[in-house]
Amino acid sequence: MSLIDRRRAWLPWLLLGLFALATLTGPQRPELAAWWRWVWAGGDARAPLEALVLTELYLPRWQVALLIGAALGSAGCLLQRLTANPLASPGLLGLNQGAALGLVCLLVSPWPFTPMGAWLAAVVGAAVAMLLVFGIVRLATGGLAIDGLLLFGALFGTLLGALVTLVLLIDQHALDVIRFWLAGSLAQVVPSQIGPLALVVIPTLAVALLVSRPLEILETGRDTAASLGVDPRLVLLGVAALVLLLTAAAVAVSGPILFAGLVVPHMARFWLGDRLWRQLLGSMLLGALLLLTADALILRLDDQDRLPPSLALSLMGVPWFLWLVRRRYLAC
Amino acid sequence: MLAGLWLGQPAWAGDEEAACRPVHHAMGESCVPASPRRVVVLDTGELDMALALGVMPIATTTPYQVGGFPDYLAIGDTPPHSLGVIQEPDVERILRLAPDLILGSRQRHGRLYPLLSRLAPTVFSASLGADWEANFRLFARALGKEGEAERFLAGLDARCRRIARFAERLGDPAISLVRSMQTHVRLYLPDSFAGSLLARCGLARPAPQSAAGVVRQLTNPRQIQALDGDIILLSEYAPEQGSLIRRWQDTPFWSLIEGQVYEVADDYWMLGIGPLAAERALDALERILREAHDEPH
Repeated sequence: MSLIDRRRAWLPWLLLGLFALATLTGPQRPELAAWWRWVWAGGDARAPLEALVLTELYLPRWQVALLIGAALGSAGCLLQRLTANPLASPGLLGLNQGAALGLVCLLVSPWPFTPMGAWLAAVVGAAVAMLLVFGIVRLATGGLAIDGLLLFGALFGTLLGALVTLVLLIDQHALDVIRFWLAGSLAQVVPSQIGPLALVVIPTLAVALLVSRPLEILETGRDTAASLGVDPRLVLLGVAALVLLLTAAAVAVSGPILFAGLVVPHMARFWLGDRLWRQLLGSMLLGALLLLTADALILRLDDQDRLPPSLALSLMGVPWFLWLVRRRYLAC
Repeated sequence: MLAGLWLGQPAWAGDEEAACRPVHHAMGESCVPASPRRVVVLDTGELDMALALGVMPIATTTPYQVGGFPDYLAIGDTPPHSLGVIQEPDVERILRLAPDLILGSRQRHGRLYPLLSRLAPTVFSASLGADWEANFRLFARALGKEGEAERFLAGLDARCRRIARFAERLGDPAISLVRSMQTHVRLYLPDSFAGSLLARCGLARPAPQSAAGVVRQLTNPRQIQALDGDIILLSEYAPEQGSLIRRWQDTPFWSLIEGQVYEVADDYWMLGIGPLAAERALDALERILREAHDEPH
């Protein structure tokens, strides 16, 4: 059996085609042309503005879109498999709100608000939120049941969100600075963020592929897993840590990009199949391509760059989701 | 007792009326006491103008991010009471302070005028920015200090003549006015306060900044060439809370800038809009042109 069912191989090509179409007809077109002329002429003279726009603005943005898409897609996939809930997404564990609170705390603190500092603050905020969710559920229930984590995570996220709103209402200028971030956007990406992002995301994705086997065993039931020598709690904590790393690193750069973690795993299952490592690999690739395409599409729609890519994601994702539900429903 | 109070009121009001002068302003006409002693100002621009005329207001607002009085206004040991941020002056506090004159502008506080004019005679200018000279004369009338105002403006004209001579010797350099905020970079056009100062001295501006208007906002470094000029006067709004231009300076886009950058103080170039700010800004500009003249880059 080949990796890809031939009838479903068109999916990534469709996304790539959309990206190419949006980019070649979009506001980047004159810059692409100028860059091409510059490279063709030898590229040794001082770079013209158009070439800089391409290498300093679009290229980092595309790289970040690929990394964040892969991170959010696979985080969603891991979480959906771990919770056996096809509607779970990383936002449910209070991570997004925790990251937002970290950023807002940095803004009102006396420390300078630099891109690197903001990234660290958001990662720390998300990590603290997730540790609190796990710690409180453990203390309150004596165990770490998946349902308890999801429910309390959603609840705790609401509380953190309220705190963020409170600070933003008191400090007007903080809202101006993180407005883009709160909506989830790649417009504010800075090249210096790519390094740390890649350093976290790429090794974590590799580890995630390696631990897909114990997680698959755990899916057959806690007792079966235990009898096969897989510690259910260790797998739960390990996978949760992977989800945290992937989501926090991504959210810290772009803000919460909704819908990517939810819809990508379903597309990946359709594309590569149900086995966890296949779905995970598919989620990485499709997540990367989907966010890249979504970002190119919103730039095509509004060259002022004011829209969040979540808009294009949901425009593409909602019909897909409806079609998927209908197919499943009719099949039953 | 109640009747006594009620009857007493018109007598007091009539007394006041006899001693007051009518002043025409943007919201109508107010009758202002001959020499106001308890003056409340609603913005740093009006604060600047009152101080330039030798009047220390009893209360004023402060800009919301800077949170204090602009440094260039030499305020002694007894600062005016604070009315909170410019956007929302504390009206209750104004009532308790019982002022005899309130100065402000329709652009900032027009909707508060009906309320304020019942607390004390209130004089509003129509707008801020490039109209500062007309506003200065209006408030000087309200304060009964027209002579002082004209002397002050004549002092500014003398500075302008010196600056124009330096500019001529430098070959009329195009002067760019740039202010870096947290999320965008602003170019100040001729209808802004800072722009009007350059226009007053007849200085040249770069082409992207010479069209009519107050400010132009840049958010994307691909527009960076709009801020270029022979001399770039750069100020930062709140650098400790982030400044977009610093991020741009770290990118290769900055290599496209050819002009010489001079950092200038935000408080008197941008924040304060008034004669004292104008005096400080023109002094700084004269120093910069002198420096550019003595050591050409």
